[in-house]
Formats: sequence, C-alpha cells, structure tokens
Amino acid sequence: MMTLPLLLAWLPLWAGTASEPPHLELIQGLRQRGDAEWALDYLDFLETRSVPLPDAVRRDLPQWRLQLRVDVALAARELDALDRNVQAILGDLERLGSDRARLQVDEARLHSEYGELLALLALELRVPALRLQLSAAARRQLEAAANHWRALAKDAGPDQAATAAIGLGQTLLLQSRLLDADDRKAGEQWQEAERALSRVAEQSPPTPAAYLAQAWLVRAWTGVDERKADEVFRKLLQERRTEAQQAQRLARFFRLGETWRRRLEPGRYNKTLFRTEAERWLAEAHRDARPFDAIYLRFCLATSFGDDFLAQEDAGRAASTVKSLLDRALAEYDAVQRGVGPFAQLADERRLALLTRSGRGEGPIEAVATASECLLQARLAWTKMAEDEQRLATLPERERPEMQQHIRAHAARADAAVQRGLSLVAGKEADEWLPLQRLRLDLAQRRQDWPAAITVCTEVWEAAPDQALRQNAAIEALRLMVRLPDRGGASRIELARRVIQREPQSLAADFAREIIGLDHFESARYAEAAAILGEVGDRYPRQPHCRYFAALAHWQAHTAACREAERPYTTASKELETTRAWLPEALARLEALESDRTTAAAARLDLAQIQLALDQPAEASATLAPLLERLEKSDKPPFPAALAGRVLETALRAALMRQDGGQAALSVLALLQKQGMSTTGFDDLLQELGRQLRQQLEDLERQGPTADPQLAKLKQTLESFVGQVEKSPSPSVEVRQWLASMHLSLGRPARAAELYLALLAEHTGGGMDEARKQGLRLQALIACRQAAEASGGGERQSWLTKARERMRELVADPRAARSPLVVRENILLAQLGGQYVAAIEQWEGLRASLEPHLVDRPDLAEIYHEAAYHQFRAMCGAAAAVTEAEPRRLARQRAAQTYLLIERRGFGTPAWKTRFEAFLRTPEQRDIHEAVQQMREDLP
Amino acid sequence: MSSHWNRLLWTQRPMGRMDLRCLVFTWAALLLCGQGVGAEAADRVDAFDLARGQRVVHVGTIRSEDAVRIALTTQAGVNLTIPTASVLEVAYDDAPAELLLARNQERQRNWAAAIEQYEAASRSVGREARLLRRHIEFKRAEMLALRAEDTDRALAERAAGELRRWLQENPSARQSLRAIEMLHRVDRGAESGSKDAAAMLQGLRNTAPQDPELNVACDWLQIQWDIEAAFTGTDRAEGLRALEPRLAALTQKPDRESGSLAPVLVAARAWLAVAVAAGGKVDDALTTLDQLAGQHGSDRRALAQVHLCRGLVLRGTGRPREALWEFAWVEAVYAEEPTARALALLQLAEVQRELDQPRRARVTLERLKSDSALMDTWPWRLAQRSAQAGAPSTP
Repeated sequence: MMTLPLLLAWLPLWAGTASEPPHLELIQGLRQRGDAEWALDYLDFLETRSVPLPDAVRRDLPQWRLQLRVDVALAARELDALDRNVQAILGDLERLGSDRARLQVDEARLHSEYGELLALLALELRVPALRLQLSAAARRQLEAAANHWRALAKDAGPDQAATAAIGLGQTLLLQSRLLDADDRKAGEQWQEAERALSRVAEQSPPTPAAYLAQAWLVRAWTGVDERKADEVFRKLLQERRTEAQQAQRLARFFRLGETWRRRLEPGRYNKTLFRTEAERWLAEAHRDARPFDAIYLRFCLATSFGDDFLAQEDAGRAASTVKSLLDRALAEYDAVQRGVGPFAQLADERRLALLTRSGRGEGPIEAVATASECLLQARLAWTKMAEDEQRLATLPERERPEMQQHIRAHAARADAAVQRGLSLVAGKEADEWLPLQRLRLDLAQRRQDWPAAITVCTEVWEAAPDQALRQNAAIEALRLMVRLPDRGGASRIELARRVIQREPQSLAADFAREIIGLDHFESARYAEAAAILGEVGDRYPRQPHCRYFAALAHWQAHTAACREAERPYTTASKELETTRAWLPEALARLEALESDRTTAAAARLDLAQIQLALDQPAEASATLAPLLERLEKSDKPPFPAALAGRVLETALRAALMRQDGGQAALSVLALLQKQGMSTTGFDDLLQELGRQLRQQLEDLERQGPTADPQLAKLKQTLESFVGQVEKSPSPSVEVRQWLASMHLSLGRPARAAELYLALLAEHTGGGMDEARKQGLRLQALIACRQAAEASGGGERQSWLTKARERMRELVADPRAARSPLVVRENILLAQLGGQYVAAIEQWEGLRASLEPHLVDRPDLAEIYHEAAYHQFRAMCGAAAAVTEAEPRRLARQRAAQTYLLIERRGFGTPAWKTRFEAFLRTPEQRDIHEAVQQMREDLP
Repeated sequence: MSSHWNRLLWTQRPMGRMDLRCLVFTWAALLLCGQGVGAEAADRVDAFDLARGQRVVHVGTIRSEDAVRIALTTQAGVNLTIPTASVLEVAYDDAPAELLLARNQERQRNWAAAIEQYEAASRSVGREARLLRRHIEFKRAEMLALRAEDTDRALAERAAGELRRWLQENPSARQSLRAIEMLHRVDRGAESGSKDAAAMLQGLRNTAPQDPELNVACDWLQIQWDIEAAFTGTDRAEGLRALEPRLAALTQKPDRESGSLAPVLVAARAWLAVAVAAGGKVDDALTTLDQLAGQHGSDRRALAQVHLCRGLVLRGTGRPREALWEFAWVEAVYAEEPTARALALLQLAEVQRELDQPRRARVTLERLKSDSALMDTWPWRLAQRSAQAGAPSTP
C-alpha cells in the first residue's frame, strides 16, 4: 500500500517563492479531503492562467495530474469503469515521456493498488465464481506490479531503493495472501517480501520509509507469527515522531483488516473491540491518502452490524437494541454508497437484502415519513418485482397468473413510494430527488408509458442541479420522443429548440441540432439543414455524422439550384465548395470511429456518387475502391445487401463513364456474380443500371448544349462497354437481355431487335416461363418498331412485319391486349403504316381513358404525355400526307392548335417539352412550325 | 482564567480533546517533578506567546484577573503579568470535578447537561473562591445563551437577562468580552440586544481607556459584528464599504505593529482591502493583499486572511473562477483560523453554485455545517439559519 510519505517523496516538494503560493500544499490538501477531482480542476486552472508558471511547477504538473487521476480512477463506482480508467492511465503513462524509473514506479503503484482493491473486493463477494474471477484479476495486476518493482530495484539509485523494496515487499505479500497457505510459491513470496521489508525497516536512524516498512511487516507477520507481529506493532505505536503517524495508522488498518478477515475463526474476533477500533480509525480517515481503505473499513463495519442483526431470531428482531443494529448497518451502508468506489454497489445490494429480511419494506407507504425511506421502499419493491419477473419465466402456466399479480402489486407499490417520496423530498437539490426521478422513469418505461417517461426527463432537464444530469435528461427525452406517433413531431422539434436555447454549448444542444437538422433534411429544407448541422461542435460524438448530413444538404441545395437555372452540376457555387470540403472530412472521421461502419460506407458511396455527378468518374472509382476491396475479400457483404448493391451499381456506372473503364466494369459484374446475387437480383440490377444510365443520358440532354461533351463521352464509353460485354463468352440470358436494352438506349434499335428476336427463337419450345416470354416479346416489338422508324424502304417493311408478328403473339393473351404499353405500340404501328386518322383517334381514346387515373396513378402520366406527343406527330404526319392545298392548310392548323393546347399545359414534364420542341424544329415540320408561330401571333 | 475574545483571536475554537490531553500531561509532569509540592496553588494559564510562536503554560497562583491582564505568581515566586489578550485557557487549582464534567458536556454541545453540571459545580465552590465562582456563573449564562441560540429560542430572553446581570456585576472581568459577544448573539432578534451589547462594549472600553490591547479587542469585536451584518444584509458591498473608516483608523496606529495585537492588525488590513475594493479601488486592494502575503509569508493565519479577502475581492469584481481557488486555499491549506475557514467555505459554496457546480456546493456546505470546530463562528450560524429558512446561504 503506497501512502502519503512515499507519494510526497515522489512529488518534489516545491517551495513557494514570494510571488507563487505553494501549489503542492493545496493539491495535497484537496486530496486529503477526498477532493481529487477538484484538485485536477486546480491543475487545469494553473495551466490556463495568464501568469506563466515557474519551471519547477510546470515540469511536475503531469506527475501531479497522474497521481490525482489514479485517485479518481480507483474511486470509480463500477468495476468496468474502474478497469477502463486504469487502462486509460496506463496508456497515458507511456505517453507522459517521464524517465524510465519514474514510469516503473507509477505503473507498479497503479497495478499494485488496483490489485489490492480487487483482492479486497473478492474477499467480500459471496458468489464463488465471481470471487475466483476477481482473485485471478487481482493476481494478474499484482504480478505486473511485482515485475515493475523488480526492474526498478535493479536500476534504482539510492533514493529509490527504499521505494522499490517496500513496493516489492507489499506486492509479494499481497500475492502470497491470494494463494493457498500451503502453496510452496506462497511461502517463497512471503519470505522474499519479509526480507525486502526488513531491510528498509531496520534503517537507522529511522526514516518515513522505514516506518512504512514496519507497518507492512506487521501485516506480514500477522497470521504467521502473532508474537512477532505484536512486537513490531507495539514498537511502531510507541514511536512519537510525527513521521511515524501515517505508518501507525496503516498498521492499525492492517490489524483491523486481519481481525475482520478471520472473523469466522473461533476466538479471533471480538466484535465490540473491532467496531470501537474501526470507528476510531474512521474518525481520522480524512487524513489518509487512499480513499478506498476508509470505504472498505466502513463496509466491514456495516456488514458486522448487519450480520449481527440477521443472526437474531425473527422474534427477537423487534427489540430496540437489535433494531439499533439494523439502523447502524443501514447508516454505514448508506455512507459507503455515498462515498464513491466499487464497494458502493455491494453496499446497495446488502442494504436492500437487510431491508427485505427485516420486513421494513412491508408497511403502508402512506405511513412513510421521509423521502429517503420512500426511496428505499421503492427500490425494494423494484428489486422484488425484478426477482419475480425472473421467476415467472420458469413457472408452469397455471402458477403464472398469481405471480403476475405479485409483479403488478410490486410495481404499484414502487410507483406509490416514488410519488410519495417526491411529495416529501426537500427540494430538487436533495440527495433523494434524482434517484426517485430515475425510478419514476424506469417505471414509466416498463409500462411503456412514453409520455410519462418524457415528462420525467423534461422535469429533470428543467430542474436538475447538475449540468451533466440536465444534459443526459434532455438527450433521454429527445430519444424517448421517437417512440411517440410521428416520432414526437413538432413537440420533439420544439423541445430540441428549447434545449439549444437554454444550453447552447452542451452536448444535449448538439444532439438537438442533429434532430432539427435531420428533420429539415427529410423535409427537403436543405439550406436550413446545412446551417444547423454545421453548428454541431467537435466534441459531440456524432459530429462526423452531422458533418456528413450537412455536406449532403449542401449538395442537394446546389443541385436544386443548378436544375432550376438549367446549369450543369459542375457550375461553381459556395454549396459545392462546402460539400467538397466537408464530405471527405466527415468520411475520414466516420471511418476513424469504427463503431458505425455502415454509415461510413454510405458516406463513401455518396462521395463517389457526387464525384460521378461532377463528371469525375476516375475519382469516384478510386473512392469506391476500398469498398469493392472489402466486398471482394469477404464472402458475405460486409455491409447491408441493399448498400452493397448500390455500391456495385455506382462502381459500374463509374467504370462505364471512364474511357478505360470497360475492364473495370466487367470486374464489377464478376463481383456481382461472386456476391451470390440471385438471377433475379442480377437481372434487376442490370435493369436498374440500364434505367439509371438512360436517366443519366436524359439528364445530360436536359442540361442543354453545355453538357454535350459529357453526353458524347458517356455514349462513347457505353458503346465501348457494351461491345466488351458482347464479347464475353456465353453471356447469360439476363446479360443478353440487358445488352439489348442498352443498344436500345444508345439508339441502335436494329441490333437490340436482333438480340431480342434471337432470344425468343431460342426459347420457342420452352425453357422460359410465359410471363417472361411476353415481356421479351414486348421488348422485341418496341425494338422492331424503333428499327422500322429508323430505317426506310424495304428494310422498314421488314421490321414492320416482324413487329406486327410480335404484336399478334402478344395480344393472343387478352390481358396483355389491355396493357397501356401494348395499346401504345399498336397505335404506333398503325401510325407507322400511315394510318394517321385512325392513330389520331386511338391516341385521343387512350388519353381519354387515362385522364381520370392521372391523379392516383402517376406512373400512367408518362404514357399520357407520350400519347399526346404521338398524337401530335400523327397529326403532323396526316397534314404532310394531304396533297390538296386547303385541306392541307386546315390539317396544319389543327396540328398547330393541338400543339399550342399542349404547350399551355406545359407539355406535362420538362423532358416532354424538350422532345416536343426538338420535333417541331426538325426540317420536315417547318410548315407546322410556321403555323404554330402564326397562330401564336394571332392569339389575343 | 480564559478570555474568550482571545480565543477568537488565536484559535477561535472551544477546547478540544488534545487540549485536555495537554492539560493532563502538564499536571502529571508537574506532579512527577515535584514542582507542585508545597506550593500555595497550582492555577494554570495556557497562553500563546507570539514572540516564540507557540503555546506556553504558566503555573502558580492567580492573584487577580481582569479584561486587560492576569497577575500570577509562579511556584518559584516570580510575579508574572499575562496579557488577557493572549490567554487561551485558564484552569483553577481548586476547580471541582463537576467543572471537568461540565466541560465534557459542553464539548458535546449538550447545553442542558452542561448547565446542570455548572450549577452542580457552583454548589461545590465556597464563597472564598471568588474568581472561580465568577467563572462558573459566566459559564452558566454562556451555556444558557448557546442553548437558546442552538435549540431553544424561547430561552433567549432569560439568557440575555443573565448575561446582562453578570456583566453589570463584572464590568471588567476576563470573560467580559465573550459575555458581550454572547449577549449580542443571543439578543439578535430583539432591537435592544445590539444596542445593549454596543453600550456594554463601550463600558468595557471605559474601564481601561489607555490600554491599547483592550481597545483593539473591542474595536475588532465591533468590526466583526459589522462584517457579519454586511454578509447578512441586503447590500453586501455597501456594508463592506461602510467599514473602511473604522478599519483604516484601526490599522493606522503605529503602536499596534508588534506584540499581541499584530495578528489583529494583519486581519484588519486584509479586510480594509475588501472595503476599499467594495468602494471600487480593486487594483489597490489586490496590491495591498499581495504586499501582506509577501510580508507575512510564513504566518499561516495571516495567509488565511489574505486568501479569504482576496477571494472576496475577486468575487466582488466578477471573477468567481479565481475567487474559488482563493477560498480553496483557506479551506484546504490555511485552515487554522476557524472564522476565516467557515467564511471561506460559505463563500466557496456560493461560488460553486454560481459556477453551476451545485453538487460540490452542497458537499461544501455540508462540510461547513458538520465541522464541530466551526460551530462557534458566525458564518456557521449563518449557514444554519439559511438552511432552516430553506433559502440560499446568503442573500
């Protein structure tokens, strides 16, 4: 056990000058009052003050900080947190850059104290498996400590020799205690410890280290040779020098610990003496450097009273003396719980067990007079409820209703106790207020009463005295609101706004900003989303996520502005600049997090898609390379299948846009097959890719002449890719079908028709289900018709014949005959055959039949607009076919009139507008164009 | 014999367990050495020797005692004059056993039991033991006042009556200053109380108008009341500003630079800085405090006053973060002076609350309320009263 004198020896005593107060004295003063955290704050204050610190102080600050962090670490309430703290400090030690000897001392001390704490805890645990687990952990820590002490002893100078010897002695002694008494190794360790400690203890004149070694010798001899232990103890206690006081207290602590450890051995434990001595020791406890000694002793004292109470017969427990035992035990456990440290949880369990056994948790809640008693009752009822719920799972069916009734009764009691406690509690700063609210929240969550749970959190947020608590409550309230209908809707946003307003710098405010930002994003208010998400501070754990969405919001705002102004996406803007700066930065941070790899993958994909939209296919491919590599290496997709699909699609598109991307595209296709995508999935993907590419082509067409180079490049790349895919040996039906659709998109309908017809011919006898065949026939029909449109003379007739054959096959099924697509093709075929009048009527009929459904079925709108387009074309065709002047003029007038009517309705969509206008500008339609212009001028 | 205002100056705490042990050891040593054999009496005066910076014990026969000095003839026949200002504790040779029991109850704050024991002690003392009888009567009245203040306000009038009667009978006794202080405390509610106490203080001053030590002690007690009033009033800055002339007068007399008055002078200078800062001259105040810290770098009590006052100045000028650490010095390092420490804790709790550290503030306030060494100080009483009223500790 490392105690104050030794610590002081490590921390150089810096003497104050006229201008500087003795900072170390304040730090030690705060430590001795158990205010290590506060002392850490003082170090922060020293480091940030404007007056420069003396060199000696600045040099030693890291060491002081470490010392205080050790104190704070060992006082952690939960064992997991304690372990994390210790590991964090060990990690920091390496970075501290102190000299080797000091590093060894620090590490050894940390391992040693942590090991001893675990050993003490193990001693008090009643579950054997846990005891073994903790003992093993303690042994590991002590082993590490012993290694450091040995290394230090080997290299230590004279000033550190005593430190190393005492450290090694105490560690070996603790190690030997953890082994069985008859273990040979335990004996060896004990002997080595005794030798090391005796060497220091015999120093003359005695030093503080010598006294400390004597205290440890008391512990070494206790249980081995009581006479010797008494002799050393008495000699140490007789010492009057102030330097010996710390060691004297330590020795007394050892004696008390030993008495407690042997309490079950007959004649070893005088409970009255133990309690008196322990109370005396505790009364002076604030003078000790190590807080967990006092906590442990208090815990032992509480257990001593508690065990005594439980040992009484049930009938005797009503006696006032026995009741006072219970009161003392509860009070001591309460004190342990208030003092931080891993014994707090244990104390809590024991306290509840005592209350259960004493029957104190059974009276009417209305009779309870204090908030703290209400809290106890509520926790007791909650514990009983949890136990019954566990039992419920193992009960036979017929016994369950009764148990469920018990559970409901416990829950109701807990609820009543909480309500009464809150009515009795003396203000919101009282100790009980927060635990009562915590229980109230747990109870509300248990019965899934989300509005009530949110109310609790909001109350805590509004009234909690502590900023950290307020923050947690606000976050919890906002999280719980997700469970309400419409995710809390406007009230969630309202609460988020209040949180930001009240504590704009807190983490809760950043959480609220995220919520509001995502709400804006979902509602397509991109500028607002970008602004608020951009305000999220760096220390917020989800800051990379917010930055990612902010970048996406900037991008969306940019693309919307470009579309509106009919400019390419590559047009410079502030939003584009921000997207380019933020998205890679967010991606780097998301990938560094490692906790959310899916979002990181999605961010990478988004970056690639943006690069594609900005005509940077090579950069997009490079961005996606790590994701493709992960997909290639793993048998199962390392992220959700939908995301994997999108990654592959984008990679394919990027490859297709690159001049040299054919090979890359093929490897993506291979990867798709390797990923084990089903045939349908693969087919769908190809279809989707085809659709996207067509969309992309249309997008570029819409962007106007400025996008022409991009358009030409894309077409060229696509042709090259399609050519490469065609060359692949024995392509599957799906690939061939996809190739045909790509030829169609690239304006080569004849080649597409050939492919479709070949596929149909191969499957004449079977091998393909009828539905799929019908789909293929329709595709073939479209391709043949387009081929006929694109050709002339005999070839045109040949394609028309083929198209009509496919039409006959299709309409053999009456259901197919009613399909709008088939109807459309039928009219187009008639139109192509020069039957303009019939076609015009049929288009009119089709439009009339579609019109009532346009509101409910947006998918039919596209056919409707197409019908208008073709109707106009048919009218133009009809006008051209008339030879006589007046009827021809009238026909042109009708066509122009129709055009103007459609124009008034905005052509349906911008895409159709482009097509109408492009058609009207063709040389063949010059007359109609003029008629339209004339009519426009004549109109009022 | 003891003078309570001296205790305020030197230790400001009731006799503790260690004091009792010292007492027993000293007596045992004297008996073993045979020094007490054959002597007339073995009265014991425990005083603080400022020159030597330590406690000294004088044993002999007390011939006389008043508010200014105690005259004692040692067992070696040497006549000593001990300034009452430096006296920490007095034990009379002929004190009955009940007196020890009464002190024991007093330490445990069992006022009713202590009163009973003092009454029993009074019955066992003969009329010839004049000084001892006076002391016991004073203690009885003091216990009654403490009981009224602590637990039973209904006794306040009775306690004030007893204190007044005792002071009329003993206008210039060793315990007079403490009696006046208790009268001021117990009669706080009644308007007449403060006036009575002030009048009696003037009366005490008049008993020895040329004695600088008594005058300083009276001035200092008056200033303490005013400081307390400033902290309990509605305008603290105004209250502190109003102190400036009186503090300036106290610090400007050259004959008080040394001797037993020096610590009071240091404290008064530190508080003068606070008053000056309240008047707006913050830089001057901080410079004065820095100079004081430099001059008295080895005097822990002086440093406690300097840190406390610097904290008050910094807080008053909107620098709570810096003020917080000044109060922390008094709490964690220079904790010897109980009133300074209690006020530092009270201020610390307020600053912590101001800095949004309510949990720490609560712990600090708990520490103040539960420390028995601070229970005789006005900041402790202020914290108690505020807690009972359910309001923040000070306005």
